[in-house]
Amino acid sequence: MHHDQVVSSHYAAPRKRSILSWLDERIRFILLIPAFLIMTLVFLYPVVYTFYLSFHDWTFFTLDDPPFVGLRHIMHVLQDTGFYMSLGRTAIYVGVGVFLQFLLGFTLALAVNRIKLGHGIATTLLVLPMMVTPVVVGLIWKFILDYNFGIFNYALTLLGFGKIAVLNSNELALPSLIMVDTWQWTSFMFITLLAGLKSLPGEPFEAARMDGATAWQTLRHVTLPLMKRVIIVSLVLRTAGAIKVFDQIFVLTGGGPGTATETTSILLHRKAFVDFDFGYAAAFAIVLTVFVGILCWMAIRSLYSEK
Amino acid sequence: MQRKNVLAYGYVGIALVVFLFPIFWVMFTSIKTPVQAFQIPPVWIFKPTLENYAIVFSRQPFVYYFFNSFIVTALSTALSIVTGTLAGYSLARFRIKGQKWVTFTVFFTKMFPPIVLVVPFFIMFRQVGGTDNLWTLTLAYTSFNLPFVIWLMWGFLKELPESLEEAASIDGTSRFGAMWRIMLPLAKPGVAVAAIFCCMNSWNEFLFALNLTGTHAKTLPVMAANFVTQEAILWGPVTAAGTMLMIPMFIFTLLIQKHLVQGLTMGAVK
Repeated sequence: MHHDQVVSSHYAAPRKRSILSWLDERIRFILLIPAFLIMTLVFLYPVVYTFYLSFHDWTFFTLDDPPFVGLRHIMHVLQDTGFYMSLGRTAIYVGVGVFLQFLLGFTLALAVNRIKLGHGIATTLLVLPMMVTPVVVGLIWKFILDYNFGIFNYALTLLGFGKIAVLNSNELALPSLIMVDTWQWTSFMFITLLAGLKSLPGEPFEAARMDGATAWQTLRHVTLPLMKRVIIVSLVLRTAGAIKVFDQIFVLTGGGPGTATETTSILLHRKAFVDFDFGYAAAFAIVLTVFVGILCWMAIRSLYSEK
Repeated sequence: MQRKNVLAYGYVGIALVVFLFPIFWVMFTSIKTPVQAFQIPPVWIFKPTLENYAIVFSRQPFVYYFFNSFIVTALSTALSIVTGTLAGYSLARFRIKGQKWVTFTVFFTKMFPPIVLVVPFFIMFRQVGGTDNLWTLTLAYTSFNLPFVIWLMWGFLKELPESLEEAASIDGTSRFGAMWRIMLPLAKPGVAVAAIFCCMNSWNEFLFALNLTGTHAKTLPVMAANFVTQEAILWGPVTAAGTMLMIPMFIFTLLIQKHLVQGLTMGAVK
């Protein structure tokens, strides 16, 4: 910003160079200081401190004087099949969940974009699942899927099927968690993609209609390319959210049965606060951070290459 | 054309039922008696009662936890809004070298799994004697609120025309004055969006509250989760507690409606 310098040198001369004007000229840095200090305290320092933690053997009994163990914990994590299993489960949870949410959210956005009557009220009501406190989402579905008192199993018996203990089943627990995530977060895809659809220019669609394009051709060759940026942003943000998932799983299955629904967050939590192996948990956290950093870098690249 | 509209309405109708029924079901159950809440087949016609709510209030220090939630939400939102708006303004108005790295940093903090911070927080707070404390919990919440505010306000303030400040500085106003009297009043809508999102995120937060608090600084989501992780779950009071947690969120939703997408995507989609 060249004009900054021009303006300041122009006005610095007649004005007395008091401490206030000295500060005023450096306001860009001064404004950053409070946020920078807080971020250092609540983010930078804890992350660096995690490295320090991972080099020591912190158990519940050695909290005050932990012995130094170097890279042992990090090596442990990298050799732990449990770690890779949890990464795999998280990948399934995120991959399948985000895909379903995108598919359902996008079709729903197309449908709502088409209707006139009740458009506003439908939009408002369809975002509600996303606004429910994640813990309460867990609680709602735990109630609905409850073996004895849940309306899901009641509906099954009405239809002549046997009851299923969905959340206690090795095969069904993870899919049902993905279903719950999809119930909550399809709203997010819906609302962001609807906003994208509404902001599209009208002319390309006119042109497509003039050319006699079918609805499918219009979607494929006009809507999707124009929506590319919005779609990438939605997918990236939803992926970021899904990777972090903890609350619903903690309430619904707590990682069980066995380790069937133990995603990275749940496993890390168990290592730290059930097994009280903070050193291992810290090492786990570091590996996870590096992982997220790489993902994030890829996301930034795909976003910037769009511009 | 007509047939397609019918299809669209049908699809939206089904989605509405699937999306809203679970929420309705929990609210509906919360006004049954505690015994009716367990009944299968479910009772559809009954006299509404607030018994479940009374149980939540009597069995748990609900009001106390509500104030904990409220205080942490308010403090963290205020801290993040003040510092984040100033930082966002600075980033938006002055060209800083390596802006792509700043973007990466803010973006990374958004994607960052909070579970990673729980362990260092736990030990750090323990060392200064600050576990189970509303102040340290506020700081913990600021770790996700502040990057969000910076990012959102940065995007918002970049859109405001710079010519306004130029006019002010030609009139001899200081840079601080230009920011304070001209830009910040214009940024009010952005600040409101950022503040409501901070409130929602803090109100919903569970992971930090679960691990960094005990009995003293416990928040409402932790209380609600305690209800259902027990062996014999009292479904009636659980639905009442859930309803009470949901209601403020729905009020926030109505307040934020027009700016929802802007806040959700941190300004990336308008």
